[in-house]
Amino acid sequence: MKNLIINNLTKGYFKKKALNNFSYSFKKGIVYGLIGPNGSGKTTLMKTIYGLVKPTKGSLSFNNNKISFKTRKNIAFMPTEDIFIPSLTALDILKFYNNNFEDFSLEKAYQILENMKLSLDEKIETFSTGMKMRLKVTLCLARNVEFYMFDEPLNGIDIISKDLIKNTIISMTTKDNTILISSHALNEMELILEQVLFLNEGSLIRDINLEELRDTENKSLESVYWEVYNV
Amino acid sequence: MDFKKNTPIYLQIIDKLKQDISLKILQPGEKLMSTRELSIKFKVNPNTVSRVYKELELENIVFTKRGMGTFVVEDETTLKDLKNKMANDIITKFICDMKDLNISLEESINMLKKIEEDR
Repeated sequence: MKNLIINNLTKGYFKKKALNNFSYSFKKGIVYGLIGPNGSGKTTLMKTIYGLVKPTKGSLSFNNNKISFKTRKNIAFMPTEDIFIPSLTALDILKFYNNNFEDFSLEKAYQILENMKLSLDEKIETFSTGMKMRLKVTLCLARNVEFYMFDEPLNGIDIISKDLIKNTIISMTTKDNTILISSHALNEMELILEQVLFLNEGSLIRDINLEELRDTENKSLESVYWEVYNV
Repeated sequence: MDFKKNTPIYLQIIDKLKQDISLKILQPGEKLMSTRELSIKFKVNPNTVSRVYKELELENIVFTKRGMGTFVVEDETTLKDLKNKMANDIITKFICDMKDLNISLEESINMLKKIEEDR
């Protein structure tokens, strides 16, 4: 079932187009990958879906509601930026989120945090980069929404953190939610993704079902990447 | 488990489970892991594992009890057939590969015996 429908989305910054006539319909129950070189529009697309960036042209609707600050109640977004105050503990941050998001579940957050092997009472300033990423993913997944977006969740972190994050995302995937993940870590992501969108200069240039790709063309995600971007 | 990235993942998991079933690592009647558990174990998309169970059910190798989970069948003939079929697949592939090398079946058999003697 479709939930997020995007039609002819264009976002221009002065003369440059960050998104160029992007159209796509996302469905429930699918983990999508968003692939493309730096500057291809991945982050702008996610921010537009979250209602942080206004489209220059085109339309976005989520379950028949126009995307705005209101639809943010049904969509969770993990940006790449670091958002933590170092002197706070993980528990402080969970409580802050709990006060600010109606759909946040403290119980779910504790459970995920445990799976992520993080403790509640340590200060963020003692966290490694990988631990901070694990906390960020936890905060996003602890919301009870239908659509989750992660911008580069495996970027620049140790393999243990990567593994914990992947396992958590797999365990939170259901028939009723959609997950959209942008990544450069093709090898690490390809087994958990089902459908992959390739962006180039703001346009959708390919849309691939990975099992179908393996079945009909005997190709891996990485080999298609080289074909698509022709390098 | 190391997957080949250019071959359907669900087929690779099916092969692995069939092997475990025919070797009785997974016993007749045994309850299999849930879709979620198995997808975490193999670190793959849960829909891939759902497809694995669907296909195995179509082949009558597993069955689902509503609300209880997925189980290995208990019928010994089915399990024996499974082992035979897997052995057949290996042998057929071997024969084809040898034919591609222009080695006759008779010659192949002699080479097999020789290798076994030398071991």
